[in-house]
Amino acid sequence: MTLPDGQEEEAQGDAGAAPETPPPAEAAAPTPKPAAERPARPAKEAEPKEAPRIPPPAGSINEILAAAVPGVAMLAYMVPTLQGEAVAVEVGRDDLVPVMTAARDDKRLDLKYLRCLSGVDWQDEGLEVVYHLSSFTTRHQLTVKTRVTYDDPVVPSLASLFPAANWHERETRDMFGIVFDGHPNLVPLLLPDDMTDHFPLRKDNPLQEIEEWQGENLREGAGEGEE
Amino acid sequence: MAEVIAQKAPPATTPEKQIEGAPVVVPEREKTGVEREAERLTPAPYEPGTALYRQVLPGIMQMPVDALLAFARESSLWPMTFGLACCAIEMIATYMPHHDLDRFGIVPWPSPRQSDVMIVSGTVTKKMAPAVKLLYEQMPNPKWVIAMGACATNGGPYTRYDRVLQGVDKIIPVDVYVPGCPPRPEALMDGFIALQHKIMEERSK
Amino acid sequence: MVAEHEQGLDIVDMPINMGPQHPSTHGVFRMVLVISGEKVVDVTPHIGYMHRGGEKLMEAMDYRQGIGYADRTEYLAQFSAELGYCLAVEKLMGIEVPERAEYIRIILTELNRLSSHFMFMGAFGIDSGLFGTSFTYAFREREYIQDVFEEVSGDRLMYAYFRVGGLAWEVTDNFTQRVHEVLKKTQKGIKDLDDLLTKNEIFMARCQNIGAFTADRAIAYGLSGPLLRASGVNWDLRRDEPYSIYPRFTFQIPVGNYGDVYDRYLVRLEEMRQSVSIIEQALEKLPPEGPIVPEKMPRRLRTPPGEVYAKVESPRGEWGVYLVSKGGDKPYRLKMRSPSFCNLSALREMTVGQFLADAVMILGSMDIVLCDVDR
Repeated sequence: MTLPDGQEEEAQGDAGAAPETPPPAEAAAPTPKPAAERPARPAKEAEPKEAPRIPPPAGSINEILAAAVPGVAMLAYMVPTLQGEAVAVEVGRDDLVPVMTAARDDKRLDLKYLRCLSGVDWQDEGLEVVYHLSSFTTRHQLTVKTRVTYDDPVVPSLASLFPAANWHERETRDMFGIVFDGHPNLVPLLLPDDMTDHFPLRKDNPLQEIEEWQGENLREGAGEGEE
Repeated sequence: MAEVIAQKAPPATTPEKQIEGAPVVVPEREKTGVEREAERLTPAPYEPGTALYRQVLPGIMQMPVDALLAFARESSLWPMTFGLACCAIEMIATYMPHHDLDRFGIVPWPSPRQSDVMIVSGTVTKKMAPAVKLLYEQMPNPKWVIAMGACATNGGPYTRYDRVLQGVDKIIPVDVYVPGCPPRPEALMDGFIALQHKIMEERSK
Repeated sequence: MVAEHEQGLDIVDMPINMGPQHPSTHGVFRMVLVISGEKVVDVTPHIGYMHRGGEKLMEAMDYRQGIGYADRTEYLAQFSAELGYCLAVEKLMGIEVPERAEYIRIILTELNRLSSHFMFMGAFGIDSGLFGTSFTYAFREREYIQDVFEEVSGDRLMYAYFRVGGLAWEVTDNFTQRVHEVLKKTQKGIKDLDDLLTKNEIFMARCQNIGAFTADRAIAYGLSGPLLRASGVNWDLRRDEPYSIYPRFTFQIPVGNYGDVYDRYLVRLEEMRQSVSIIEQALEKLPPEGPIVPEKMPRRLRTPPGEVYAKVESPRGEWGVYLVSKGGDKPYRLKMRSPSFCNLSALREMTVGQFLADAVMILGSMDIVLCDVDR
């Protein structure tokens, strides 16, 4: 079974780090090669930290979208799906409503089905809201992303465009603290009303520790008996 | 009734050769429907005082009152249907005829006011906790609680999330813990039997 | 809203709380209905009573432990959830699943669809007034299917049998025979429930023309699954956005006309028959021998950075996994797009204007799973 590169590196590192202690005669440890002869290790920094952004091929739907909303800066790339790849588009927060309106209303795109709306917490780079759209008639799929900062986590609401976004936006606000401007009813959905001060899915919110005082609440005589 | 029918029966046919001294063989004929019915409706002979249960148990049974009450309570525990999460599916499967709970006298009852046991099956979140406590207080005494599953025992697989109550015994006293995720129907039945033993043992409290 | 009566009495709409604990078995869901007489004027669903933080906990679990959480989120269609999760991770890692594992996955997922729809029939019969009959029928069939699952995976309810790359271990030797037996019994069970419910006058009177939802509104609300198909939209992920080896099977998609509660019931009933047909085709084509994990399976499951949105057709609708990875062996963000959550958001529009008793039927016809709604 081939091990991934990381473990091979570690094995070599361990063998290379013990030139001072001479290996015992009985052990069958191989003598480490001198430093000049060791093969060059791939640097750990070469591991990609981000997925490579492949621009979409010519004729993809991001061109139709760009034509429908001229003057909007959007960064388009491909993301994998189970059936191949789909187009993803990153827009600025203020351009979100025109872009989504064009996506929905343009007859060539007809992206009326909002599948999923999720928030992602990129710690230093802000908070992100990801919308997945698709169409039944033209079979297109599009992912729209927009990023906001921690200081100003306000995103315009799409509840009037897509009724499906209503509950998703309430949930994202509960989980991340992103305020959706223009939402008709932005009350807590999943969290209890008195516990909405800190946002569970943000990365700075840790998991709670397991409390150990299980036994204090048991009644007297509990635990005795044969069962 | 039987004699009346016998008089009206047709005569048996005689054999062709009748040998002197030989008995006349009357072939068996089928009984008519009326005769069969008459036999069926004739009560069997019965002498009073010979019923089986009287021979097995004497007429008077002696039992301390607290044991009698405990026996009555444990034989007909009515749980409140309080299915919260995945354990509810296994709880329902235990009620269903494959692993029957009705043979223990356990009938699921939706109202808390008329039930004896509360089976907390599933994770109790902090949003749900006041409702659980209210339902427990609505049940009249004597009442018991079975914590079914890992989530009700100590938070289960979701214990590290800060909106989850780590075990229902933080808000209500629990009598029997049934471990498992979800516990098998046999395990829940074992939990009920353990509760029955507990009721019998604690009968004088 | 207050209306003045002739004799000076005030008529006020009454709020009714169908609290977190109510006798129907849908779980902890709270509806506050405002009714005027018998007609529902307003509905406010309150959810979140089962919000257990599955998404946050999955960020702390690696790709093998996360399968258990996916199970527990969708506890009636566990294999669909596991399949969605495994497909997402496999797409990111670029792993190809061997043939035999694919076929077994499909067989088990479709059996799970059958058992989930049986549960729907049982619970829906109770909602419509049958006090337990349909439930006992349904659970009898579910027990047969659960026996097969228990032989294969070891657990009655939370299977955790799929792994990234294939399956956890090989199935039992008599797997094909057992599934054939179960299919025979299941077909009889489907027929039993069909005879009990479909042409039943009371059932039809309780279900027809209730909660009708047009196709445009269904698409706008993001509905999926049998609700979308009952409203007339011809869309099934297994055929239109196929995953795994579904393109090799021929099956039909039932589509309704009116979008009412009766259509949703009929769509699910017909889906059960189609599932039986898919399982039979898969059993014929199942390779008798073969690996169940790829040979070059890495020991530690690390995904490269990237994102994927994987969607499968669960019995409730489109179950999606939006997985964002920054490298490493744990997901950075895993969002479970649950069909029950999206279907439930349309409850208000479906229920306003109907009678109070029909509100229960509409909720039952959505076939929601509360752990899925609240995650």
